Amino acid sequence: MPSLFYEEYFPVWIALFVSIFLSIIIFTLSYILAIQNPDTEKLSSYECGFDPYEDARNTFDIRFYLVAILFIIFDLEAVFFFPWAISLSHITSWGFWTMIDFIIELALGFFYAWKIGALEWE
Amino acid sequence: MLFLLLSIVLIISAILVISAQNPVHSVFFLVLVFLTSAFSLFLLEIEFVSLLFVLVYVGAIAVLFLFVVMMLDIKVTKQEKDFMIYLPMGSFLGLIFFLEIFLTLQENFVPFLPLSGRELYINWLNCIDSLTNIKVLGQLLYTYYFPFFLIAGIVLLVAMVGAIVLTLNFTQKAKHQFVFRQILREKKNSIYLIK
Amino acid sequence: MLVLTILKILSVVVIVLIGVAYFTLAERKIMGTIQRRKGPNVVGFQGLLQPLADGLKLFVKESILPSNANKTLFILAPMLTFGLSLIGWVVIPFGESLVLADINVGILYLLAVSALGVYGIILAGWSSNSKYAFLGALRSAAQMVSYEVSIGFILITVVLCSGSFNLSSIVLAQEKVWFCVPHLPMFVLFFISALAETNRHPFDLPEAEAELVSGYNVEYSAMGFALFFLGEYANMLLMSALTAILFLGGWLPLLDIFPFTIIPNSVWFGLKIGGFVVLFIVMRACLPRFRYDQLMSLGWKVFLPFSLGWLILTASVLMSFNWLPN
Repeated sequence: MPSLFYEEYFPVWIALFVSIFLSIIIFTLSYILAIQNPDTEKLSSYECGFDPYEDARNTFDIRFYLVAILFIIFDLEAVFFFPWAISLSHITSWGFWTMIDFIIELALGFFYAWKIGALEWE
Repeated sequence: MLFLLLSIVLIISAILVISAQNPVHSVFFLVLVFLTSAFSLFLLEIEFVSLLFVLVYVGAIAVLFLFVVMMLDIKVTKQEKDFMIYLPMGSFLGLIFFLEIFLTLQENFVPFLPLSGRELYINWLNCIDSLTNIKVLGQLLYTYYFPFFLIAGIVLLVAMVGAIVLTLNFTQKAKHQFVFRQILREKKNSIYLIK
Repeated sequence: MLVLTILKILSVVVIVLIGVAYFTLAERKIMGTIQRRKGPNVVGFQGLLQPLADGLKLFVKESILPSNANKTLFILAPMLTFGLSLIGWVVIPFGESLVLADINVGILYLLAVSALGVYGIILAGWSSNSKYAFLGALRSAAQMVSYEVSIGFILITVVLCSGSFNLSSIVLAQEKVWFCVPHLPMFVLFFISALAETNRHPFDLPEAEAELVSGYNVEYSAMGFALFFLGEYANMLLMSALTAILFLGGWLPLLDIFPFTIIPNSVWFGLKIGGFVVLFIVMRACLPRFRYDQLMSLGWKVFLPFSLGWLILTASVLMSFNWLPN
């Protein structure tokens, strides 16, 4: 059933396919047309002239993980804001104060993170 | 038809998530699962939720998984042994999950759109189409379902505190640079005689 | 229907790519001027054909697939970055009803596309299996993720004032006054976040030449590199366009009186984007690079609380004076 909804989104899907197609075309054409002349030194990973002596996939600082988890939480908070922002005129002050309560809950967490030093990078 | 195809892709990639040898590959299959489920939500004309799937699950949660998997530095897992250990507990949890789904299917989630009874002859489609699903969500979530919304906030708070407590290593102390202290430093308060 | 849509999309894509090409030329020329050099001036009149020559050069170079890289993901990463930078343009209104897909959740769509943009970088860094690439990708991902939070809150502030997620209606809501007047701090914050989101100077730590050589795309050559490059610059253009739409009234003329209304709407939009492009370049030429801890604390300790506070302030003011749009 082709409804108005699908008609609205039709260009988005076409654009998706066009961009995928375009990037594949560009890459393969360049790969085919250019002269490929690989050798071992050329294909080894670049480390400013040194031989790479160990695997590059190392463990790294746990703070990146913390940033990711804080991002999830604040992203979810932002997501809860979206329907609120668009329907604030219909939900009266009750909806407004519900959101303020929600913000206070998260602000508590934010201040905790700040005070304990989770946002510090040395 | 398209929906069926998508479901097949979804299930295949979900199986690949748990059977892939390289954990990073399995996270990428997880991303594929999220994307296909977002697309099937789109086919149900729930554009807002489907974009949220991309935004939250793919853009945030899968990024976290990737970070963790990269950080743990696992090359290839050996899973034949683990599989049997986790099977009973996993299937038990899965059973509970499906039971919950079947129970909630009985409930009607949208209170203003009763599916049976005298309203059967009203063309509800017009009523739905006049509001976008994002507006419907907004008008219900913050008024009618506000306790759930506030509980969600508390869950997020607990998640944040828990993550910080688990990950933060309190012993690490690096030397900090205090710009104002450097600027305030003068001859008369930095040069003094030691007897 | 299908053919027409494809043609429309291709026309937008071609315009974006030409825009990117001349963005790079403008960058080299303006930076040259700031540093009292001439910039490229050999190929074509005053170097006008330089970007095309660069593109051709990259096209016929050898594509190197590093021996210990994960080949599939290594090839996929630049394609993903390039493709994502193009599909965002579908919802951008270039003029009144001059938009490919007038969807009513346009802002969310753009946010989702930019959230997916992290993947191109993580994929590139991880699949290259090189230390510099890996470190660059990590830094870049953490940085983009941090600034996306405040971008989200700023977008909500704008949505609150216009009452719609549709980009065209956001522009139309600014007919009386552009949002950069009441929301001047958010306008500045959004532009700075856009700089960080696109890994641009002064937040270009992922590509810091002095320490990481080139960041996540060290291992890429030829078209792989070119696709990353095109994707990044197209993203910068997209962010400029978004800033213009959200805060500078998109295609609306400066004042709705005679001498300004002669210029067509889409030209106004182009002029605004061009202004931001120049600002991007001047920022690169003038500002030193941030340190990583400064970058993170700016994102989390300044931008996040400030944008959230401004959001609450806006909501309260709109609520108490009953100014909310329906």
